[in-house]
Formats: sequence, C-alpha cells, structure tokens
Amino acid sequence: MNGLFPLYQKGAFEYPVAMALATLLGLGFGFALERGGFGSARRLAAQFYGTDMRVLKVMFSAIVTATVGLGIFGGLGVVDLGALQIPGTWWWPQIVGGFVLGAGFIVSGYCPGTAVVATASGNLDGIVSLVGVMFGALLFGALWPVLEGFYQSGEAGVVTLNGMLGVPWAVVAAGVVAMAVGAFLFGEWVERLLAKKGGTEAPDVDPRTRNRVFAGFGVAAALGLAALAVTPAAIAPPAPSPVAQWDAETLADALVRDPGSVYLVDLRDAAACGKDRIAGALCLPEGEEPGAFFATLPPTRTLVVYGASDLADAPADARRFTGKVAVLTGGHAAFHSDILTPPPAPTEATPRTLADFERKQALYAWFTGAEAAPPPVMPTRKAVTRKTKKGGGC
Amino acid sequence: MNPQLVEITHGRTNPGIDPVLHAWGWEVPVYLFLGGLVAGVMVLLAALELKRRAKATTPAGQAMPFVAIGLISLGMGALFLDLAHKVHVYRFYLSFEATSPMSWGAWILMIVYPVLLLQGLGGLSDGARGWLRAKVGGLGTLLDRVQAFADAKRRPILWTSMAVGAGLGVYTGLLLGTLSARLLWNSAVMGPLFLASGVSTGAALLLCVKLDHEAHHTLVRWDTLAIGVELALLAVLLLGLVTGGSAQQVAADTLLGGRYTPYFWSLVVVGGLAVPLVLNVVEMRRGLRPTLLTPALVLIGGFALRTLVVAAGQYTSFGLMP
Amino acid sequence: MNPQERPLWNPYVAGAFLGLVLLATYLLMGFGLGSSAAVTRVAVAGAHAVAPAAIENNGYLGAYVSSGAPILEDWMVFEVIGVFLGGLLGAYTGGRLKKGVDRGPRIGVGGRLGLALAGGVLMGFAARLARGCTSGQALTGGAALAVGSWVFMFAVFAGGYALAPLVRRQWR
Repeated sequence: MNGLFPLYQKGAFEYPVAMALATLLGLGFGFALERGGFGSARRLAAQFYGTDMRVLKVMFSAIVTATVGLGIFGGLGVVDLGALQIPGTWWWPQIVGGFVLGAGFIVSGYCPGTAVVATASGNLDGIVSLVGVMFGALLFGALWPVLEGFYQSGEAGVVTLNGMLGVPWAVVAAGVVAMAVGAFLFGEWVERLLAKKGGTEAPDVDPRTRNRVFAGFGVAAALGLAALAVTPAAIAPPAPSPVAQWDAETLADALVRDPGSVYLVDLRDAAACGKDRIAGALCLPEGEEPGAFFATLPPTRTLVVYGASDLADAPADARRFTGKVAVLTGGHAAFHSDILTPPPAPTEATPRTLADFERKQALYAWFTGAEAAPPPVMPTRKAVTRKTKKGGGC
Repeated sequence: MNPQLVEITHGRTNPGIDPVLHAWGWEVPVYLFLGGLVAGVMVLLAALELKRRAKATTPAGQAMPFVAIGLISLGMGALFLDLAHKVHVYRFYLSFEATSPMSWGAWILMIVYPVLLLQGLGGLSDGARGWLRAKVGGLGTLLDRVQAFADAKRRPILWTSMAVGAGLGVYTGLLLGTLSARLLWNSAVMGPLFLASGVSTGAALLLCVKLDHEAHHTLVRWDTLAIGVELALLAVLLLGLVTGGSAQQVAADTLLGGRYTPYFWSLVVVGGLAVPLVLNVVEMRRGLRPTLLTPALVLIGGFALRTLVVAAGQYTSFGLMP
Repeated sequence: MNPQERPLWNPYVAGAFLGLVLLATYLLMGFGLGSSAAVTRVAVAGAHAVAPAAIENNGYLGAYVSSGAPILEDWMVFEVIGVFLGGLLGAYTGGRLKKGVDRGPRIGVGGRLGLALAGGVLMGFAARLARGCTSGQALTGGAALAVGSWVFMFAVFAGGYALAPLVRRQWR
C-alpha cells in the first residue's frame, strides 16, 4: 500500500514549508476549539461536574472524524497508514501523567491548547495557566535525574488498537464510532439528570443537527468498511514497509547524529561480526532463530542490516521486524571503503566540493578516531571596510 | 592542480568576483519600520483632516504628529548606530545626488521634521495652545509666529505632509529596491509595497489611541484597503520572482521554500495581513467593538516584514546562485 | 451576556470540524496536532537565554538545544501561533473577545489566578512525563488508534473527576 499521502512523509515538501503550513492548520485548530467553547475555563470545568459535557462531545467527535477519515483514505490506498507517526506507548508514564494532567486540568480550568485559545479570547487566567505550564516543563527537566527511570518504564513500542486486535483500521474506526455515539447519549442523559436535580436547564442541543452529525459518522464508518471491500489489499495485515537502500554515508550520518534512531545489525556469521563490525552494530545472537530476534526489537527505530557486500533485499527474517527496514548498499565492504578510508582530496576546490570533502573527513575522523586533516587552505574573504558605507540604510 | 589556484580563478570566494556587502543587523529593520510607520501616520492624519475638513478632536489625535517626531528620531537613532563613520553624517547635507536614493532619503528626513511640527502645532486645540504657550516662556513670540503661519497655511501644509509622507514610505522600500546585488530586494515593487505596509502600520498605530468614532471608522476602512493593496503587491513581488531568472528564483526560494518561509507566512501573510484583514472586515460589517489586538497584529506583521526582507535579502547574495 | 455575542457551535459540529482539521494535518504531515511541546520550547528558550549552561547540561531539556537550530524554529511553535490566531478570529467574530478572568461566583481573582498557575504547573509537568497533552496525546494519538493515547485519555478523565470535588468552589 503506497499512497500519495501523507505528503510531507512522502517528500512532497520540506520542513520550512511544513512549518508555514503549521500556522494554517493551527488556525483551523484554534478556531474549532473556540467555536467548541473551549476558550472558557468554566465551560471546560463543567465537564467534570456533569452539567455540560462539551469536552467529551467535541473531543470524541473530533477523534471519530479523523479516525474514520484515515480509515477511508487508508482503505482506498490514498494515504499510507504505515507512514503515519503514531505515538508510542509507555504504560506507566502515560497513566500517571494522564492522571496528573487531568488534575491540573480541573485545577487550572484549561489544558495547554485551550489555554492558548483562552488567552486569545482575552482571559487572563489562560495566560497565567500557560506560564504555569512553562514552569511545569522546566520543573520536569530539573527533576529529570530522579524521573528518567520512570519516564522510560513500561515501554511497549508503537501499539495500536488495530494492530493489537489484528483487524483493519476501518473496522476499529467503526467500533470507535459506535462507542462514541454511546458515550454521547450517556453524556446527554447525565446532563438531563443533573439538570432536573439542580432545577436548571440542560445544555441546549439541537436534536436535528445532532442526529445529522451522528448519521454522518455512521455513513462515514460504513464507507470505511466499504473501502475495504473494494480494495482487498487493505484487508491483509499492514504490509511490511518497503526496504530502503541506504548508502554508507547515510548510515554513518545517522550513527553520528542520532544513534538512537537505528538498530544496526550485522548479518554475517558471528566470527566475522565479532572480529570487525561497523561501530554500533549488533551481531546476530548465536543459538537464537534470527527471525525471533528481529521480532523482539520494538519498531520505533529503523532497522538497518548489512552483509559482507551488497544484499539485494533484506532477508525474510529481517522482514519480521514491524518498523522500517533498510539495507546498507554495498554492505560492510562499502562502509569500509567509503567511511573508514581517508577521503581523497577534491580535485576542484569549489565551495561545494570542499563542503563535501569536509563532511567526509569528519565522518572518517569520527569512525576511525583519526585527526581530521585540515581542509585545503582557502583565501579568506576579507571584509573590505569602505568609507562609502556611511549612511548604511539612509 | 593546486586547489588554491583553482580557487582564485574559478571560485566565488574571490572578493573581486562577487561584491562584498556589509551585513545589516537589527538597526536597519527598526529604522525602516519606524520610517514606514511615520510615513503612514503623516499620510493618514493629513488625509483624514482634508477629508473631514475638521481637525483631530481628541487630545491623543492632536498629539500624534509629535509622537511621530519622536518615532522618526528613534528610527534615525537606530540608523545612526549602524553607521561606520558617525562623524561623517553631515556630508549627506553638503550635496544632493538626484540618482541616489540615499541622498533623497537624507533630505526627505530633514523635511519631515518641520512639516510634522507645523502639522502638529496647527492642529492643537486652544487649551493645548495655552498650555504650550505657558511652557515655552521666552520663546513665546516665536511660537506665536510659527503658530500663525501653521494656521494660515493649514491646507498647503497638510498636502505637503501627505506628499512628504508618501515620499518617505516609498523611499524606505526603494532604498532596498535599487540594490541589484541583493536578489530579493531588486524589484520595483519594493517601494509601493513598503508604502502600503507603512500606511497599514501607521493606521494601526492611530487605531491604538483614542480617536473619535468617525475617525476610527475611516481609519479601519483605510487600514483594510492598505492591507489589501499590500497583499496584492506581495503577490506581484513573489510572482515576479518565481517567473524570473535563476537569480530571482533563488530569492523566491527563501520566502517560498527556504530559510525564512515559516516566518514569512506565519508572521507576515497570515498573522500580519490576512487575519487583521478579516478582523477589520468583520468589525466594519457587524459593528463589533474594536479590539487592540488587530492593530497589534498589523504592527508585528509590519515589523516582521521589514526584518525578513532585510534578512532574506542579505541571505540571497550571488554566492547562492547555481 | 454581551449583546454582540453569538452562540457557540453545536458541540458535535465543532468536534467534526476539529476532526477534519486533524485529518488534514495527518494527510499533509503524517503526524498530528499538539500544543504543550510548543509551550515547552518557549520555556526552554527563555531559560536558555538566562542560564544556557543549565539547560545544555540537563539530561532532558538539553535535547531541545543540542541540534544548534533555533529553539523556537519548530513545527509545533508555528502551529500554536496559528492556534492563537484562530482562537482570536473565533473569539472576536463570536463576540466573545473580552478582557477578564473566567471564574465561578465564589472565588476571587487572586485565588483563581493562583489555581490557574498551580494547575498549569501540574499540566506542564505531566505533559512532559506522558510525552504529550490532551492535544498531542489524547486527541492526536487517539485518532491514530494508539493504545497508549487512549489509556492516557481515560487517565485524564479519571484525574479530572477525582479532583473535581476538591476545587468545586472555584467553578460553581
């Protein structure tokens, strides 16, 4: 399944453009939150006294819409669900963090996002709340040495409901719709009950609009399921993502920049691996079935495998790894010749070749511990001070 | 071949091949922003009075020409800090070079002061005049004569103020536009663009102070118009760059897909123009109570535009060209 | 009530609209919305300006500055600028833009602001611990069917309901 979307992950545009789009998407987010009534702390807090379940209604409606939408587009093959960056699971920090965040929510009246909207609505308590969030984040940093162990505890990798249940996304999405509608009806029932008890009026919900939205959810969920029927490929469990080819420099760069982003596994036999492997590589454990070993690795990083020389494709064992898989082009030999040998000096010293040379030099130095040779001397660009410069901007 | 030799004959690092340009820091954007702001205030105050055939009614409105004098002085202070040879400033005023925007600017700045002073003095209420008269002491007769002149020539002074303001606004952009070595700046649109931006920021500043209802409404309308024109000019600028040669493409990339893209779209286009435009239109059509946040966004956007254009322009030297 | 104020949207309609924005974010970017990460970056940038060494040497916060890129040059930061602008547009066009402190009838301004600050500290801390807040975890992760995010969401509701009786005075 290889869709055109998500555009950014598929390389349609670069990070600066992504950041520019972020403002537009945030604009929609903020506008929706405001129209949902999330700019007011009292209205948000009412959720926890049962008198106005707006938080539940808005939030679940949003989740349902997005999930079902992803189910439909994923089913049709428009969007590559495997390319989505899905938050990982760390059981204990998420349970405890969620509980504390809920407590902070009812005490401050906001969550971080709605506090921004409240600030934009002129509520002073919103910005005070934001200042609190900033202090809280710094406090977490200050307590990091104590908290680090707990922060990493209960790691389970990327666990999704559809993956756990072994069913396609759209099926889970349909289930979420059913659950959400149930929760909405229950919430409205509680609202009416408390309103009767307190002698007040339940929040006014136009039943016609509500039923239309519910019907829309139902139709969308059905569409998602129908998309599965027309695209049989979608019914199969998510296909392993295609194997990427990494050249030695890409790998070396990843190892230097962020060693935590890859698992590097040496596929050669234990003797060769033990004698001379790429720094940071794991050897295949002896006496264990390689497939089982790959299956134990959490799919949060990219798995990079290499053999003695070129591997045409990742072996089936490595394919059992559920995350992204890459093969080192040229294998161990290529890494040896490209990174572990001093790069030749450029023949033509343009800024581009020089920068390229310096990068290769730096990688060579990093992996071999050798001193980086000084780059070829270049005439330094002297700032010419000119008398005519008077009136810089005038 | 010796790399050094290659470097000297082929490389761009040879100072004799690409022009070496001085890098501007924060001072120049501040000056350009304040210059545009004052230009906008001059044009708008004069236009408002000519349109209504009545002087500003609120004390804040009457004080604005004097505030503008303070702002332009601040801007020139920032500019002065940027000068390499501060004592040589006087040389600007020893000659006039008709083909140099710098020379034009230096002289326009000199005219701004007396025009603003006359505009301000002529617009004062009787109460304020009495207060000022008591303050100046021995200079009273001089003040009386200046005041009499400002009153007698009120309309010519206002027309002059509008012309000088427009000149100041255009010049802040033209100054950049004539520098061909900076790829992004080298566009004829820069002058009108900076004037439009100056008018909208000037309107925003005036909308921050207490004016009478009618003046407020007129200014919101003009502000909206200026923002609309500014958006159109930005589109013209970008279209011109995108459809231009490779030098222009490099310049366009900094705003459309490079280093300054997020700031440009977020702070200038969306936050500084589009959102205030919508807020203004909604305020006018539905008669909503005005909010200070709209002019605040316009001011932030105007400052961001100057800062980004200066920074992005300096980022795009010929060295970036393929 | 302010005569210029207009009614809020039907919550289900507002939610569906929010969901479409989230869906668009996923389709364009491949990840979802958030907010606490941006607020954290502002805090780190401020702290880094005051005490650079303390931040750089911090095991957790140091990661925000180690790349050398400007701390605030981040997707989430620009997104939150958009959230502010969107909130402003919504509040102004809805006639709800008004300077004030949102509080119940039985609490003073000082008390309300104190609690807002205290709750904010709790949230800022918890959002780092849980790797996201209601936007980044519950909403975004929930829509992506991440199990941890659903667990987080139920924990948020549990925490809110558990403490609600204690701070009832503030709201009702």
